[in-house]
Amino acid sequence: MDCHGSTFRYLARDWHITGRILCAGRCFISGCLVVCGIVMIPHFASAETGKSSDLPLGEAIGQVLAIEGDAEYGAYLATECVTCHQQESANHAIPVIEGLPRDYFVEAMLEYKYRVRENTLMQAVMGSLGLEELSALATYFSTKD
Amino acid sequence: MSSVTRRTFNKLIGASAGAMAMPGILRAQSRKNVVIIGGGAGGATTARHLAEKAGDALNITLIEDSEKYTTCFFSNLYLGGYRDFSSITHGYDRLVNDYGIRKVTARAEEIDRSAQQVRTSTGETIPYDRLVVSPGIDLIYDSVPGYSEELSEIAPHAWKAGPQTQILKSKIDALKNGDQVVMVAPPNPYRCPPGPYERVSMIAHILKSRGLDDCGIVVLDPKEKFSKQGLFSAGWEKYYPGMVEWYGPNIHGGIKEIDVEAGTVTTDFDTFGSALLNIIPAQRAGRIAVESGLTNDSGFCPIDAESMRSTVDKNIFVLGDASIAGAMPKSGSAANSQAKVVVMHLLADLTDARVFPTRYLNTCWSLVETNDGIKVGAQYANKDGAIASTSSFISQNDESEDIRKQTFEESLAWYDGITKDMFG
Repeated sequence: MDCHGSTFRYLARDWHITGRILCAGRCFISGCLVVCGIVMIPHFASAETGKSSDLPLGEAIGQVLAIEGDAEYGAYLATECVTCHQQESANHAIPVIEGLPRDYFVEAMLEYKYRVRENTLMQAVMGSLGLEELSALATYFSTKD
Repeated sequence: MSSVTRRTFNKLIGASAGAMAMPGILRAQSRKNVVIIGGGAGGATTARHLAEKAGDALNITLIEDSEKYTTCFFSNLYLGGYRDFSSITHGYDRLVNDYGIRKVTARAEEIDRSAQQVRTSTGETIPYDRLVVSPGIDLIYDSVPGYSEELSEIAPHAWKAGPQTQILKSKIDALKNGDQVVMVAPPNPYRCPPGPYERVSMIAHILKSRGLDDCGIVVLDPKEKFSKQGLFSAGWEKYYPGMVEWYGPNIHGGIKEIDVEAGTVTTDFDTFGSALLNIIPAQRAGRIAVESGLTNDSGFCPIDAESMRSTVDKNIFVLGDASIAGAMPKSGSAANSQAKVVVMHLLADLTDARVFPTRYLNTCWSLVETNDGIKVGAQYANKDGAIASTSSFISQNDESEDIRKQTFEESLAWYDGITKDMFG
């Protein structure tokens, strides 16, 4: 049995639901019992289109902050960010984001998603990022030195 | 027992082996081997991120025949005089010293897929549990009639960065007023879609800044259209009026023959003479991928969109320019992004790491003239088994000078970032 990390998706109205089967233990010896649970993860309505959601910005911020960030998921997602956002920046054009407070990070990223904050690249990156993913990223970066 | 992970189980094995005579050997043998072919944006990024996450749980070997690696990205800025050659050339010292990666400076000559081992040009045989193939492109020289690898010393392609780039630079710098440059652009698919047109901009910049106003650049393109065409065309008209002529196949009717010694390109429409020929031929995946049976009829390697795993061999991942990555272009940025996905799946294959839904990103930065940078890019995901764009962006013709300057500055920080991400 190798259920670790298996994913499935379906589309319900404008909401994408991702189910991830998480295993508390790993079956590496035949016959060993593993404990599995299913976690339902809501994705942001506009994840596929890049357009901002109907959800008001303030409510979206509150929703993301209310989600407990999965730091391990954040660590994977962050690998995309750190190509540009290194621990030291060559100039002011690309800021250092490690160590940013969680609430500030969430607000700033959602402002890109809602196209309130300028920068077409960041708007596109955030346009395809769900709330759960944003929460995970915010948790990851806020706990980095 | 359910609380015991594979890693702790391996530690227990290691601890019990400690009581035996050869603990070091046993521990080394228990570690899985990851071999990476190619030390560019795909391979170097994979090596560094894998080492960072796996610690000493894996043996990581990077096979790359160069001692130092010159990036294709930003090589046009070297041609334009904005960067020196050393600033786009990087060593592997930190990957070796700080990350414990074994760097083998040799060519990968052969992959024995059934025995799971790679033979190098120095005669070494290196076994693997998982292999990452990131060899970049090979040029199909005879796709341009009359061109060959030998003739690239006279008419450089400069589409693999290194000595070729330096040859082209010296020829650009030797141009005299009234000389004409002719570029033969490549057909799709090819490495770095905006690259030829950024190169035209950089050559024009040099000619203009040296006061060689009677020089011209002719681009003979096998494509009807090209990346960021509106942005480049507007830039050429604004900064280099009358200097750049671009001809698509509708006008030139097809490239019939080039004569490198004479500096001429004959098309259905006309024969174009030049003082400098830059020939960028058609491309396919690097030789090792072709000879290992990892390519299909397109000359590139089919992969699984969720993992970059070869559809031909489950123990092999192919990424970067050599792969068929759906809507993603062939670029250093794309290869760097794909490497993060490969690392996640390598760790899931060989350790107890989790797998998350895959995301990809590409950004292509180009410089048109000093402080006038443009960008195009997109986010991608696996959609129904193919890598497809989920959101995108592109610079606009009517944006302010400040935004263009900011885009150029972003590109400088991006270069600094991605090369640290690759080489540590």
